[in-house]
Amino acid sequence: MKNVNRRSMLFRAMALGAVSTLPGCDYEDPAHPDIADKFLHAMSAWNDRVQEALFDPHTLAPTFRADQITNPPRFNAFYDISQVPVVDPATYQLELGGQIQDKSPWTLAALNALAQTSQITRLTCVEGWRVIGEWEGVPLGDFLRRIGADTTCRYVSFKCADGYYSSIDMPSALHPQTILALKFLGAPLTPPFGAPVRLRIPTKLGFKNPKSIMQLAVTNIYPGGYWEDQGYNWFSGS
Amino acid sequence: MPLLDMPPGAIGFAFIASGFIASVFFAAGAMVSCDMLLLMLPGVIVLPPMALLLMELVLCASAAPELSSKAQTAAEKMRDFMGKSPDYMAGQAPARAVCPAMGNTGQCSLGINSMPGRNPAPGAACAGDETRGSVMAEKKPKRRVIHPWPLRLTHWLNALAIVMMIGSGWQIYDASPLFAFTFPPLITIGQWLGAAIAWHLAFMWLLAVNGLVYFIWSAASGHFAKFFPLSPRAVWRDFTAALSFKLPHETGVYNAVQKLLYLGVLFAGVVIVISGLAIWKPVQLWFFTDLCGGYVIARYVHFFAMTAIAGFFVVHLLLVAMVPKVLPPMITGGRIEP
Repeated sequence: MKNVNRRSMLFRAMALGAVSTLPGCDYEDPAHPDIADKFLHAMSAWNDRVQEALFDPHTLAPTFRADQITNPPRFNAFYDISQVPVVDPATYQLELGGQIQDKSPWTLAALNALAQTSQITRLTCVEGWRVIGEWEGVPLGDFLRRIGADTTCRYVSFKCADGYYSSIDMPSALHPQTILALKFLGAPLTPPFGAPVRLRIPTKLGFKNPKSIMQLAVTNIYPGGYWEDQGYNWFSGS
Repeated sequence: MPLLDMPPGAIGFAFIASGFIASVFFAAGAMVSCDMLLLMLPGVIVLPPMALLLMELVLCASAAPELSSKAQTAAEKMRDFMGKSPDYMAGQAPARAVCPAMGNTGQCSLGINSMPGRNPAPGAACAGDETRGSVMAEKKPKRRVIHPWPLRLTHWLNALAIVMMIGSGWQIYDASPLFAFTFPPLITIGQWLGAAIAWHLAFMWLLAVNGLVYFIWSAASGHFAKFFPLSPRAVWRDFTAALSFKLPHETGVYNAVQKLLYLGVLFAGVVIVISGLAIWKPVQLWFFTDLCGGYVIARYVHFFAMTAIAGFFVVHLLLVAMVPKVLPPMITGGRIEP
């Protein structure tokens, strides 16, 4: 009797071990998806649709008091802080592409001359931690309308100085709290935190806030993203 | 000979044998490719239950004549019992003319006789009865299923969902630990954060939809009545009895500790879904986040709900290992034999 119990326990432990090794092969090679990858992709696409339906353009991300700001801010990137690219603000130009009427590039001074808005919001990382910061910049919706972007397009995509790239859905781009941030805590952005221009979108996870943006495009062709192409959920709304 | 009366050794052997075959297939699949590995999963889940089901079919078919005669004599005995003690029936179960559980199995009388110190509660046994109807009207009593199929289906789907959710959840936890420890990668699901989140957000649908089906079915079928009545005294009585190994397992009836454990894990299930939504959508579903005390606290709530469920999981498996005869009915449905 005792023996049988021990053996059945052993079997159960084996079964548990077998199950836990099962998803060990997922997203190893994005170019050659196996059946597990295909299943996860399908579920991720389904989750994108659910989040699009769940997104309410009038629901604002929570705002915080100045004394709740995380200081010093937390650096995070797919490389070490010593590798951060430095963009010269004097020669910086934001290039525009895709379904935009006026594609002439924007200098930092021109962006600074636009009406600004400020927010103290929470940046939630996909890893689980969060920081609170104060960002100031141009509402992306205002900017898109000013440059004559086709706001019926599905995506707004970004390419960064460090090779990072990402994209967001148009309804989220037009959300009032989505800004092209130029300042952090009242001072111009520093290179580790996205100088000279970064996206600040508190209705999405941290990795959907690309830093040091060099190109902005409006498109109907799915642009993907650095992490998204490796398996992170594309919409990643909060 | 029906499966329930089989020596535990035979049940154990059937399980180990089918489990071994499944494991060999599984290991072979793992060596070939990941695709194969996933294809093998249904085999691992389906093979042992299939083996048990087959065994039960063969055994029951060969033992059928003996069974029906057994059933008849039991029914006759019951009739005698009921006829001889009308006062008892009137006093204990006034609302029910015939308690199906009693009529069918004699469970109630058994429970009372074997446990003199216990409150006789035939009403509780009746309340959870799935197949209502008078046994007395039939010549051959219908054998009662211990676990109806919706319960078994949701149970095993939930088992799969819980393993996947906790395994991937541990990997997600490791990306930003709340405490001074991390889970070893060997026991987590998904080799990196992106994969773990993908598994987590895929299987959350199974957990939630399956849980919803269970709740709706339980409410509609009267299954929830099995959890009540429940008093702290009864819990303490059964708990101390269980610790001294004096608590008998009554087939088809939950003891007070079981009731508390099951209600507790159901509550933890609700908490884990709400706190999960609070973490997943703190902007759009802000009311869940507020309910959990904010985003940061919601992560702790989610973690402790996981701890509760994992703790239940361990106790649950230990109890099954102690009383192995309860395992086959969760697969085949089982029968309460007359």
